[in-house]
Amino acid sequence: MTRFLRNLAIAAHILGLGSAVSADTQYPAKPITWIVPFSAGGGADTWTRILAERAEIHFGQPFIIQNMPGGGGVIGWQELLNRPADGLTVIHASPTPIITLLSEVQPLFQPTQIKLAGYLGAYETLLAGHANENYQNWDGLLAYAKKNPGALTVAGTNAPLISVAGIFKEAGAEVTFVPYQGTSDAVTDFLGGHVDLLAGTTTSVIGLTSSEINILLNASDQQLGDSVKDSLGGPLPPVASELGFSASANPRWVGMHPDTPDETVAKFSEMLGALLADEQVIAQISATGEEPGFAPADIAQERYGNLVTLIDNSITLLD
Amino acid sequence: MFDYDAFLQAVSIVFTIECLLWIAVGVFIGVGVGALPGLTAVTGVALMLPLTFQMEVASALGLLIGLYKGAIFGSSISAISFATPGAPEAAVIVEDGHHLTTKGKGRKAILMSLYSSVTGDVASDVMVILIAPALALVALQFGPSERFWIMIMAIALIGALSGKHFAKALISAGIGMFIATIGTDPIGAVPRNTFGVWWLRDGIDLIPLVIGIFAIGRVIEEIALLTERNQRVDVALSKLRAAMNVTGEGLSWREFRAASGFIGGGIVVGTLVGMLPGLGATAAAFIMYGIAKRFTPGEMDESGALNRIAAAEAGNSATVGPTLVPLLVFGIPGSAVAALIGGALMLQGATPSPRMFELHPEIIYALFIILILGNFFNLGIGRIFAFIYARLGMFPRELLIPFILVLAIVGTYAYMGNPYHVLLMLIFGLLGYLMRVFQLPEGPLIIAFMITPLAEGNIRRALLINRGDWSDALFASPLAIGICALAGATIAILVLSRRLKSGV
Repeated sequence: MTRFLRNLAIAAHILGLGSAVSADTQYPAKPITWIVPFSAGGGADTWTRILAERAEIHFGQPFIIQNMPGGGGVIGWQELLNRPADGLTVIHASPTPIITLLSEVQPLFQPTQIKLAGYLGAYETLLAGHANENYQNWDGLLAYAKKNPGALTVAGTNAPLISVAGIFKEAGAEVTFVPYQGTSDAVTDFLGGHVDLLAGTTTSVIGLTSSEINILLNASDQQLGDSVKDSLGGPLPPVASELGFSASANPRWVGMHPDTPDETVAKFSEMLGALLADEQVIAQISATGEEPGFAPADIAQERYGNLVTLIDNSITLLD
Repeated sequence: MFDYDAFLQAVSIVFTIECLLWIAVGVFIGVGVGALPGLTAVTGVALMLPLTFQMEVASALGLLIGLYKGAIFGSSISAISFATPGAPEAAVIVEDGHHLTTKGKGRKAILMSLYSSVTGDVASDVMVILIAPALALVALQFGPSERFWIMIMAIALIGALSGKHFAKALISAGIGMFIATIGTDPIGAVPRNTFGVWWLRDGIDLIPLVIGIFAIGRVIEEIALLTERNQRVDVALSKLRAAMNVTGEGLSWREFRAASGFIGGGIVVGTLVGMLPGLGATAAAFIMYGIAKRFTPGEMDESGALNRIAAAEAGNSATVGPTLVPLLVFGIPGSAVAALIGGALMLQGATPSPRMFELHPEIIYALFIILILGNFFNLGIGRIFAFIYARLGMFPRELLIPFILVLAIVGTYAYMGNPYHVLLMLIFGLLGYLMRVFQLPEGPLIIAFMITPLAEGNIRRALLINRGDWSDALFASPLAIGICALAGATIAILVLSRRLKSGV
């Protein structure tokens, strides 16, 4: 295989494509630093550590993981912008820093200051409710909410609340949002019956389903993963985008400095795709309860743009 | 209800050489992690979590739970020996513990801390095993309104911490309340009181605050004293030699028995506080210390100091088992460590959920056995550490100060790898020093800092849920009214006892 590549490089050189190809084959010449803008132990951190175990096989270089928490995920992003645009530093984040930047009156920089290298799977926001006689499903819930404006309370952290806020707005239903700082507090108050509905990520909501608790809506643009479908057993909740709402799943995204050359981004994205297809990586990520997936740079860039617009439109709805 | 087969299966997976070894390793690392300022149980468990990916479920739980237990006790070692709390939950015993150390009774203090920790932990674990499902049901009854009153109740109990000068305690609490408001508004998610400084957006973390106030504040004070005395290094070295020859005084059975009432109180408070999400070991330690302070004689009295250490340590250790209750019964982590242990269970294919007792009874029983077993490992390994650290604590200040400084800086940085935390810690060190100069008590600052965001978040959420109606938000349920009455009674008792004491 290596001999084949070398021969190919020699052939390319003879054909006068030398400089461009050799620059490409050299990347990455050094270990790649992954900035995780959150503290150790979270979702992005766990994923990155799983990826790093197989990095050398697919990239020919190890990954250096750097946790840079703080500033709502923006400190790590700022660090990326301060480093050279050579593709040797990337950031792996969730929508959190985007929300931080968009909720600031005078942000340090815009969330568009990034070149996407890929989406590593995306998780849905689910809306769950207690079993009761007023509503059994999404349609019933909407009808009840329209009849009783503001009466229903929805608990959740900021990111899932933003995901459902836009949908309620588009449906013309008024509900009361009760923001929490941690998912567990929101889940506790929901289970205790202190709030009516819970908006949360798939992993945090799926374990709660029982005869007492129903999932009413999948507030995203993708179907639930197979393992989640299995553990759910019964009928699947409707997908918001299929009902005609503008909705998006929350991605785990990997980005590079906005000035990084397109060829470097493409090269990185290709290797990243191979890494995500590695069987060991898939097995370990699945064990955390999430579904690995991959969207390459160009597709990720487009979906990212839509996500930023969506968050920007929904963020004021929580006030 | 009791699944005998699952229990037998649990016994067979726990009592293997491998699992027992991992419990010992966990406790050993835990005591060390706890003793290092800044490295808390959460950091230790987070760092060890990836190791558990490849382990059997019992070994994974043994390592993590052993580490958790060891770390909660370990934090008191450096609090007593170096006047530097290894973690926030030990901050409250710094005063008494270090006072004993300087009198050559560091070993006694550490042993009291160890025995009361282990006693508190065993008793609360037994309580968890007996009544876990019922307890979690009670915990769920506490919504935003009820939790708000719990916070008010905690503030009332903290009144006991205020020492002689009530006004100074109020100033200290006011500073703590202000520091707590720095960061992001808990409901509106907009930055406030950040002075336009971008990295303050996440607010102030408890670790740099506690290490700054309690460790660096003291270091600055000691440096000031040393420069006055202008002592020389050879004097220091001769003191060091003397210290190495001293055998610290142990703890007598009578002293331990005398503290049994305080330990009992610690078990009850720790168990209750541990089950309620969000409060945890630090709050239990501060509350129990406050209670003990009302019942023990003056600052300088040795038995009083020992009793207060026993109360605080039994209180914080008794939260260890109960924080796992909401996780096991409803899949809700009541604390950061519980969340990580939940993560480890998930990786083992046993996702904590309301159906956990039904789906994985053998894992629940294995966990219960490890909870109890871990205490005995803690006792054995803790004793060895107690002996070594008690001697270290008698080192002269000239050598200890640079050591504490390095520990504090390394520990604070290691906590999250955030350099701004080190900066904040140094700033708070200056604040801590100034507070000592003006004789402002530190306790009210820390507790106000912890309670303010919880109280604010809960009352604002209660208002949102009740659409802005204050009376509904405050008195949403009989439970809320009951806790409100209890808080009122606590304040009344405190005021009355204060009057009686001062003879007014």
